[in-house]
Amino acid sequence: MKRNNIHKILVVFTSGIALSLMTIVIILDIAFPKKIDLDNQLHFGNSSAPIKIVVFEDFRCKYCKILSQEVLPGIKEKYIDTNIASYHIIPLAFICGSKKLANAALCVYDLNKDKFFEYLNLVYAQDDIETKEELKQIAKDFIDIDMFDQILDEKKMELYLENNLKMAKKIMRKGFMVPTFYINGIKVPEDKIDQTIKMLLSKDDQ
Amino acid sequence: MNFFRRWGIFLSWIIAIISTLVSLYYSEILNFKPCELCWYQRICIFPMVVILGIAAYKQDRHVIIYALPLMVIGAVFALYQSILMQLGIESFLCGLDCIESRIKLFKYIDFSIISLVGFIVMFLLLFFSRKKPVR
Repeated sequence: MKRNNIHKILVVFTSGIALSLMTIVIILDIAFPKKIDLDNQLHFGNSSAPIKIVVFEDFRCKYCKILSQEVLPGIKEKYIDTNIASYHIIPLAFICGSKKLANAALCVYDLNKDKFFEYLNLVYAQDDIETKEELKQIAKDFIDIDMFDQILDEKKMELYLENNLKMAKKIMRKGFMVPTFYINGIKVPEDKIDQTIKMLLSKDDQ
Repeated sequence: MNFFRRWGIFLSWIIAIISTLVSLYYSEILNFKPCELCWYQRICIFPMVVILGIAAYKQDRHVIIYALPLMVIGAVFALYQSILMQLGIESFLCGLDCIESRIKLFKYIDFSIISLVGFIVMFLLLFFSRKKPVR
């Protein structure tokens, strides 16, 4: 019957369109680079370098710590020191007890940026640094303790960290996890960082 | 009434598809998490995509009596949610995303009102497509 055929055709056609739409939106969403606002985030290296490595991390996250100590030095030597890439950290503080550490680390970054990683490594070296006092103790070799106290007490870091968390959730959505690396807006697994940078570089050369 | 009999189910299905796609777009792509009230409405609309789709394909109007109650249930939740949002009352059932961001379609109309309208329209479309009662 002709009537029935029209309906069948329409249903199949509509289903096709709906499914195609869904597929296109999903692909667009996954494949396109994300715009990550890097103002006010921790940055190392030459900001005008063509490759921007962005990492969302929580300083109390064990895996972040491991990566920071094992993978970062290699990247630093090969790409950051050579002005090929810049390194940006977006600190998040959602793990229990990480707000104090984030605050302290941010203080050190503000007051003595060069000692930032050294400070973090010292904190990492002693497991389970909990209190503000302990964090201060370690920091006193690098910075003016009074300024440290003042910045910590002002609590302006809290809003900053909160906003970072909101941004991270929006960008990572279901895949929210630390550490997560984005190179020029595209999410990259940590074991593919080297590969991805090499690929981006060779693309530029072409 | 002839128009409804021919196209009622199909049009209702289109509304179900659009509602589902928009709802999923907001929750999965834009990351606005739906609240409880929203979920109950989703429960009423998501299955309609499959059910009405098959019914539209087979032109099977028996499905209408099964779908109508779900439209009513969905409309009730949508109405409740619309009232809450209009009065500005935050219910424990509303999620943070709804309250904080107060996302609106076209910057003016609450989603709950659109949902309510959708359920009502679907109800009417399906209602007028029913088989004539055999006397």
